[in-house]
Amino acid sequence: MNARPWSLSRRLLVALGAATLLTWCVSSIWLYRTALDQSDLLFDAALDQTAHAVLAVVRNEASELTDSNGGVGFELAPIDRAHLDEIVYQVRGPNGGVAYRSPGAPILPLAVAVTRGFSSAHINGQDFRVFTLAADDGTATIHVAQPLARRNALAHSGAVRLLAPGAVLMVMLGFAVVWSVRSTIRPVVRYANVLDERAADAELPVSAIELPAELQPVARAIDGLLARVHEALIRERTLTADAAHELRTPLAALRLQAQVARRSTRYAERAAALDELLDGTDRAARMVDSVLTLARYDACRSGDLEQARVDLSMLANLVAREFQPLTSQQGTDLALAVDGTVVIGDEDALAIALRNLVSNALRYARKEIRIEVEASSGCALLAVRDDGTGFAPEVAERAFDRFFRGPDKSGVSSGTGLGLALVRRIADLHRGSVRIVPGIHGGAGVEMRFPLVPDHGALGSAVLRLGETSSAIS
Amino acid sequence: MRLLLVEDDVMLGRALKAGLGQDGHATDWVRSAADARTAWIVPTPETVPYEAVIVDLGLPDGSGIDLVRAARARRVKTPVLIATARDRVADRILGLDAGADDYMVKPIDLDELAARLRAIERRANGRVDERRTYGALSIDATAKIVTLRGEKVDLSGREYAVLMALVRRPGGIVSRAQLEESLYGWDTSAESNTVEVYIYNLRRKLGPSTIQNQRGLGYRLVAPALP
Repeated sequence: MNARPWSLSRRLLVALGAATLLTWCVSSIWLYRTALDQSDLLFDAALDQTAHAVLAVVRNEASELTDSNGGVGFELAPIDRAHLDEIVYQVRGPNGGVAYRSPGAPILPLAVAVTRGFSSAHINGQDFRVFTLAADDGTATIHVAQPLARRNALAHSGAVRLLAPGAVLMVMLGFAVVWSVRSTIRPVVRYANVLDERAADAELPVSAIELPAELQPVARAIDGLLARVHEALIRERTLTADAAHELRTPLAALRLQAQVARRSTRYAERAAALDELLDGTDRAARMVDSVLTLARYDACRSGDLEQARVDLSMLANLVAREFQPLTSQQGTDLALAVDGTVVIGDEDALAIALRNLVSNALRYARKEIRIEVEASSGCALLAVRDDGTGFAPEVAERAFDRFFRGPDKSGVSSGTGLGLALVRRIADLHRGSVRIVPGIHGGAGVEMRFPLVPDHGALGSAVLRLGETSSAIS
Repeated sequence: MRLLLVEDDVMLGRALKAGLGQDGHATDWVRSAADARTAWIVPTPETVPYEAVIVDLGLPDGSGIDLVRAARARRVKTPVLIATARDRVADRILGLDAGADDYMVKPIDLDELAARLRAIERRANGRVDERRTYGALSIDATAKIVTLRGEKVDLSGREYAVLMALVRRPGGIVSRAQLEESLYGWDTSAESNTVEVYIYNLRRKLGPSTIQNQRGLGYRLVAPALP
């Protein structure tokens, strides 16, 4: 992976941070604009009030105003806060001349005398907001004005002051976002740590640790996986331990026979010991083969096997032919009752299973073994039956256990004890099953069942006797 | 010695029996705990008085430990040697505490097994070493060397087995049946006069008066006079 993996917490932080910042910006602009509008209204109200106050004073002094010759004949009381807001005013007499102006007010009239209400003016490079009020009797007209620059500065500083709490809240929100993202992600991190520190053979499910509901399916899936791994591990360990014991015994016997041979001074005794040594070597080799084969299929999962169409009748013919020298030597009749049932699977694995079944049957059969292949009740059946003594109940119970050996014809168990275990494993890998069924004349039978291939074509049923058909086969 | 071997593995059993035979032991071999019980613990008229029992622990029908316990519970005192693949200290302790006299871990070396059996036999007879002296007769059981007045006597395996059977009860009478037991396992097909043949040979080699015939009872070893 060359791209850096995206991080859940980084993604959350960026998304939440951006949303917060955007919200803050929009609300700030909105707030700023509203504050400006509101202070405009307030300032205008102040101009209005001032105008009325000035007019009231002017009425009182009206006589003086009319008598005057345009000079300043009276004093007006200074207006509260006027110095703060720099509100200035002009009083114009009936003749239109500016009868009075407050300190700082421009000399030129601020507006056209007849105008009533708000207007703006540009005098001496200064912008003014002007409110004009005229007395009903026409004796006086009042202009109250405020420099726009001042007004805007005041409105601006007020609005900015309003934004300050928002900024503080924004910072706090930022911290809150970081904290909540971190604490949300924490179970995930902890989960990773738990998985990391976990021993390969720990049995406790990891979903047992406290996890949010969203992570539970993940935890359960991982638990399932871990359980499978654990199972495989146990299986391998058991096989290793059992195999060690099972291999040690033939090796111990080999060593003893070798020692007997070496100590012997008589030819016949030495020859007998060496014969035993050879037999024992074969037995140890068989055991190693079986253990390795089983270990191989133990490590497999269904998907690892080849998934080819396998004609079970072809397979039965093949295996029967392999056994022909042995069966004719023993005088056992190996018969086939097969149809062209096809399964999906691994030909080699299925052949190993069938070989094991036939070789078992050969050890117990009196004179007859039958391999049967048929499709029945939605299953492909592969069965091997013999006419031996059959499974004793206590043997049948444990027949598929690893390293369990039943006594054979001579009462001696000479197998590896892995044959049927391997058959079961191969059946499992093909999503099939295996069970003990009645044999011929009370003998033993083992039947493997596999899922049927939907479009299988029955190529016709035939009972072949190997002796009669061997020429046709070969 | 007359031995019982309890071992389920065919190859191992055959090899052990052959090896024990080479050391002059007559061995009965059983392959299950049930057979061992019948042959050893449950007294019957045919019960053979084994001088030692070699037991494997993992038997198909039960544990060798239980077998030893059952024997001890019935006051059967036959020395027991456990021969097993279980090599943990806890297993050894369990085996010895169950009443076994010795414990050997597989793979077994035949020479070591022979030495341990000699030790068991020594203890059973209250001796401290393998060298026995009866007057002018001296037997080194470790090397299987018999000397008479300082001169080595060549004995066949069977002659040696018969001599050892007599030596185990010096001065006491050993019945003809007991001598036959000591020859059991040698493929002698136990003809009626077989024991007599070996006694005859021993007398020839060790001097006629060394082995006395107690008519109707058996034979007795008499220490040959020193020169």
